Amino acid sequence: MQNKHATTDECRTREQIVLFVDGLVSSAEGAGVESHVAACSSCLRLLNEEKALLGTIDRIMGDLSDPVLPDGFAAAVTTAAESEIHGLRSATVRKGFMIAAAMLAVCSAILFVTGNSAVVGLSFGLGAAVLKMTSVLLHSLRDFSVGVVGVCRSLCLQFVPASQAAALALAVVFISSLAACSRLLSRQERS
Amino acid sequence: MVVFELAKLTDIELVSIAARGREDGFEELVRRYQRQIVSYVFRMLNDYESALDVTQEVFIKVYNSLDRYNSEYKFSTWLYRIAHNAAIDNIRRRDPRAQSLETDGRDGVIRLEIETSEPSPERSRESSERRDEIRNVVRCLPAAYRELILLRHGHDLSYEEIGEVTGLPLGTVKNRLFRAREMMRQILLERGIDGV
Repeated sequence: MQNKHATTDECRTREQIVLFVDGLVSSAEGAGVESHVAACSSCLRLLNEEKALLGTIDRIMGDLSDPVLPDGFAAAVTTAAESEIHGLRSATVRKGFMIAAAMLAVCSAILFVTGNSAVVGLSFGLGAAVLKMTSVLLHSLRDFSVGVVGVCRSLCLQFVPASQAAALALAVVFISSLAACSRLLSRQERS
Repeated sequence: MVVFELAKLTDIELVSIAARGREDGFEELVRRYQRQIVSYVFRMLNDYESALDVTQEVFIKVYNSLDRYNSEYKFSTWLYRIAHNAAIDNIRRRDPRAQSLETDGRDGVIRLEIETSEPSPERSRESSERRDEIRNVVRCLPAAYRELILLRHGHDLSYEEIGEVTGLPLGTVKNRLFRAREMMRQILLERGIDGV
């Protein structure tokens, strides 16, 4: 497309007229085009054709109906994006898990191929230690859960005869505090 | 912060709070641009279900890249750029031949096939004959030309913004838009649509 400036007397090409209609020429060139078309019927015709075409295209694009979005699309997209970045579908997390799996596979292969008793013994020792720690953790969790249930149960038993509404209120408070704690923890993790 | 306050924030402010982990900030951005993006992608792909999937994919990419957003550029331009890439990827996945469609021929004219696919159920629901006619005019344009017409006349992007979105030099944008309009003029004249 030509961009050179023409003199006022020189006829413009269609490309130059389009640039003028689109406002893409300098103010000096714009003034030159205006004064030229005032005296040149063929350039004036080009100018009117281009204005009509742009107007028609604008009208056509305006007439096109937009596709209808399903209800709650924004919320669904946000949830999908959130789970994508925090879940196993997240590329970073997935990469970490794949590296760990690959390392485990390599260790297993070495153990299988070498059959080195010292290495096997060390591996079994490590495995036993991990299992032991897991067991302690699970037992602690179980004891904690039993304790929480016991406290709640006794509190509920104390309230139920007096007022069922009070027991219900206690349950609501308990569940709300759990939800609040969960929310706080997730925010802290994110930050 | 409540929803009506989020609606008053600028795009850059919303990006900033979304990047800090505020889901509602990101949701407001999605709400603000979902219509434009799904419309743009739909016109590129001519398929409603694919347009919804690609739009979701676009916003997920945006969410994952919020910390890399450069506020020197308009958020909408950045978003359209991601949508452009996603739409092109989708077209190439569906039709590997489309890979060569964006290159200029010897005479500088883009060789793109004119789409003649069957009307989608979405389209058949349209009652107005004129609307169908108009839609056909836009669909008849080769994809690379159609995109420029869409961005310029349907989404009011400037030539510079179209260059940023499509990755084309400004001169190429001007050139292709000129050709796209001329092609549209021919189609309109052939179909006897008034106004040209």
